[in-house]
Amino acid sequence: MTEASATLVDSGPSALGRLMAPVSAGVNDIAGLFRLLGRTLTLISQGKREQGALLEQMYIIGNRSLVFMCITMGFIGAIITFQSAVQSQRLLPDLTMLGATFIKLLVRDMAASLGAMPLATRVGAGIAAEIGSMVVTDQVDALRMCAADPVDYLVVPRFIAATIMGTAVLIIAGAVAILSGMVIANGVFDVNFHTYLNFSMVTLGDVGLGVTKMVAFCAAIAIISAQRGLSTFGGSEGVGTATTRAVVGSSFAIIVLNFFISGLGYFFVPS
Amino acid sequence: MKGLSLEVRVGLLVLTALVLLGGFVFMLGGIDFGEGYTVFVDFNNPGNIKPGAPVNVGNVHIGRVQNIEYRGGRMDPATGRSALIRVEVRLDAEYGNTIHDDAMFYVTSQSLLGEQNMAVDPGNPEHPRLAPGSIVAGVDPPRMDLALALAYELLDSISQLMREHREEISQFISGAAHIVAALDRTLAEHPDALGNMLEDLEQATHEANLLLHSARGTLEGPEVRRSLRNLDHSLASVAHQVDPLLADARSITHKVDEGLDAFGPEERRSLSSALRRASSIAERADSTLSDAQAITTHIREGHGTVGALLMDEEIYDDIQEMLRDLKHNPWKLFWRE
Repeated sequence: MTEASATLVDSGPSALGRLMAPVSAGVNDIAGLFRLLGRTLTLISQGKREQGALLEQMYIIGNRSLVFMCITMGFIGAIITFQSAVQSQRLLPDLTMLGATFIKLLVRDMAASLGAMPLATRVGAGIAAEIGSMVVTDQVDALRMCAADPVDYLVVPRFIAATIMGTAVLIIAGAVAILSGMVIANGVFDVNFHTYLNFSMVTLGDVGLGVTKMVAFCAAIAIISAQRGLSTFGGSEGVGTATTRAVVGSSFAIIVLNFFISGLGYFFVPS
Repeated sequence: MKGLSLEVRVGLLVLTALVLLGGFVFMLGGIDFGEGYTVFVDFNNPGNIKPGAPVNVGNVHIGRVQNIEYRGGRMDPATGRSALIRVEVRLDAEYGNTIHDDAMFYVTSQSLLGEQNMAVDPGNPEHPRLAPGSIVAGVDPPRMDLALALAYELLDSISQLMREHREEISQFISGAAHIVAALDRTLAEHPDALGNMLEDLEQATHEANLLLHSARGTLEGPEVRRSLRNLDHSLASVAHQVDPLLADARSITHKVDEGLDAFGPEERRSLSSALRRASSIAERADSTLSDAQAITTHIREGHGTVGALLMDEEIYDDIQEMLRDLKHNPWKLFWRE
């Protein structure tokens, strides 16, 4: 072996190492998320809260997102109802169960999963951008220098606020989706309001499953966005990258969590 | 809203969400604060009804299905009836007086593809009200699944038949097509004949109608009625006499059977021998009679001495003259001139 070739071999990682690098990075990323979640839950259990910061975050995450979420879910409800009715009419011109099936679907899954997606863009991006900006302007380091835990100071209020207010917003937005669907069904397809508002197919298990998904998705959005914000580097460009990663990671987490929670729901809360 | 504090704004949003969630749970009907009573409905096939399904009279909600119990068809001593499924139904108390003990409970659906519910026909108002805890028999819904399964089996059999006899069916259809084609050709070639045929047919139908009309008139006439009445009377008489006659015949047959039974084997042998002898005697008598008939014929034809004596007029005259002469001259009997 010549000296040059030996240098080449020693200078970079092996082929297997290069192949496994993304996997390793992904595993480290997930491990970091779970570490942050564990740390957050530990701090929450210790019960030390700054009420003002929590209330402010609840207002920003909840109240400020409400109109956006209601409009978004209103349109989603109208579109799904319209398309379901059109497709149903091709098979059978009977729309008496349109509302019942749509409400069942919305309560069990779509109010949580479809609602959490726009919530991730609104709340997740905000959390990641805010924390990322503090990281690149060294405010987080300043907190550390003041012996303040950035997780306790920045992540815990946002996690609690996002979990509570995100769930509340998703419930309200789900109700708006039902109402918009009802209006479309009545206005376009002449389905009576009482016929549409048929809750006979919905069970308490469906409601429990839907609320569980909402809580899980909102918590995931907060943790992933905070983690992306805390891992920001490279100035304003890094903040933009962190925001994008927060939205992508939150959306991906919503889909994966939906798969697993729906799978568990299939066994424990059969539809 | 601008005058409200941050706490109030956040609190309002959370409260709204909680009210919506609570209202939703309440609307699901899982929580019932009203008074009610429970009745049980037995089914062998309650369809696809589930706990929580509404119970309606017409389109009015009067209760809800509480529970569905599998009984496995075992006999209930309280009702003396066996049922596969027992459905527990909770009815609202305000409708209790309108549901009577002859009420009918049946499973139906809101629409063709709709969720199934239980419908109630309240029953006759003159009957007493359905008591709490009563067990009634429900009306089973039609088994569409069974009908479909049977239809599937039928279609499968037809399909198999057609597969196995594809050639025969093909030939049959081909033959039928030929026949239709030939008929079509014939009709096209002879349209007048078809017209004539139809006219003849119409005429024949008309005449048949007339014939039937006239036959009906004849049959409904007084002679036929009288004949039928006489026939009816005769048949009635015969029917009246048949029974005694049959009884007599039966008695005679019985007696003959008894008589025959009285003969033992020895007597039957003697009877057989006597019959054989009688037959022989009859043959011989027949032969003797034939001989006597031949002799008589011979005599009647005037053959032989006796024939000549009886049938010859001249001999008869000679004998008569001789007897007259002897009467007048008896001495000639002893003395010859």
